[in-house]
Amino acid sequence: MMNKPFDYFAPKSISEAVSLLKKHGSGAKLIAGGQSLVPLMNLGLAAPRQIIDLTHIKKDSLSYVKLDKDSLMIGSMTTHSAVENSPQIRRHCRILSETAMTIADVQVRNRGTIGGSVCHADPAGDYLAPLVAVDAEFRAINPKRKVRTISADKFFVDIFTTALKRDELLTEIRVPKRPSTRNGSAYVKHKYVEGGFAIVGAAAVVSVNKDGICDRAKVVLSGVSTRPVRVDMIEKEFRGENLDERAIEEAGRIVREAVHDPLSDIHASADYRREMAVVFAKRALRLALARSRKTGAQHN
Amino acid sequence: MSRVMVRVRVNGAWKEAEVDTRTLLVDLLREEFMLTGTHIGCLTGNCGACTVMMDDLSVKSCTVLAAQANGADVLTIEGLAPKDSGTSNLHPIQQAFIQHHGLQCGFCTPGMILSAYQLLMRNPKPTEEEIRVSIAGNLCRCTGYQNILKAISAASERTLQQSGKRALRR
Repeated sequence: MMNKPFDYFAPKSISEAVSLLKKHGSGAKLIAGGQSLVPLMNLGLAAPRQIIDLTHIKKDSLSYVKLDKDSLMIGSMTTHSAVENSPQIRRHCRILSETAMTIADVQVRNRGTIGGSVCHADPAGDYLAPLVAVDAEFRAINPKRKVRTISADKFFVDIFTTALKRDELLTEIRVPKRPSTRNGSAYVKHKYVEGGFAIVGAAAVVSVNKDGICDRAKVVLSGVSTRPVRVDMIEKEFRGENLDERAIEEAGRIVREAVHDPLSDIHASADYRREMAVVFAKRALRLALARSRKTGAQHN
Repeated sequence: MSRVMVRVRVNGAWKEAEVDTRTLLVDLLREEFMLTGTHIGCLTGNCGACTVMMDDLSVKSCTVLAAQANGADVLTIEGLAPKDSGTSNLHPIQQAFIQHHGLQCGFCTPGMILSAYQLLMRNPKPTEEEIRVSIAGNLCRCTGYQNILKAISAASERTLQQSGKRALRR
């Protein structure tokens, strides 16, 4: 059994949960699916003094997928399995379903949540790069019921560190809707074992005009640094250009420059990570580009 | 508040226990309810030996706090076959594992079978690739997996020949 005892709270509402967070301060930890936190507690690497469990909050208040005119809205307690299988997400933000599919294994996807994953902010977490690439926004609520919106790019601050304040709870992730034609996106992942974390996770989002000329080309990488790496030069370099194979090779060179201080661990040295960032960024770009050239909703 | 009352429906019957808040679902099943068919391998969510169904979804019960399962409907390996019914009444997936030699030491088997159960409930006629994906979260150090794939595939064919999902449902 875990070493350190903790108090357990099962709030029934979001406001009750944030009040408990405020009351207990820095020793308290929210738990959603628990797929990162419980193993860390079992290993003695995390020892919260209070656990505030979000699983008994009325299910549809934090677990949902909705659409309005401009955005796709995903409740923070939506499981990876639900993200993987949601017809709306598949239609309007295919890259997120594709990302969810690569996370761990069936059992972990059944239980783990998108909000839990992003709040844990493991640098090798799969959602980080694609959410930055699609310009997602994160909505958080505090005990005064004030809602704050944080862009994905600002949300991920450092290893296991987000922009959330101590008394804030992430309620929703919003992704702007894109037209279904001439937009393509892809997430490809280099892992050391089936179900493993990303050594490199590369997200690419591409828009082309009717002549096939690039309007937008974003590449964001997970797993290579303490926070997602945005390769902004690619966008600057290729807007208005034809994204041919020569351009993709050039993008690879830009990625190599952008990854200046890669992480190094037992699975991959810094140099190997940088090389793999180049390889997987090019693969993601090629795939996103191929999808942008196919018309139809299934390919955006 | 370091103890908590947990009420869970296990294999069709409601059970309750007052436990330390640190108790995992797998500890609750094994130590409070004496259902030791669910195994503990790694305690880190890697090996899948502790896989059970929770509200019709397979989960690794070493990554779920018992308190999080309060009110849930849990199915363990013990719930798949009627008690003391001998091998003739085993669940079709269990029979297929025996027939195709899908186990050796047996440690991973309850988890493997629950993962196969999750797959076939959702997808009664999986491809080999889909079977492989379905057991990606379950490690077996004996069999080399080939006979497990055969067993799950055979269970799928057998249940389809019979009455589809009804033959699987527990």
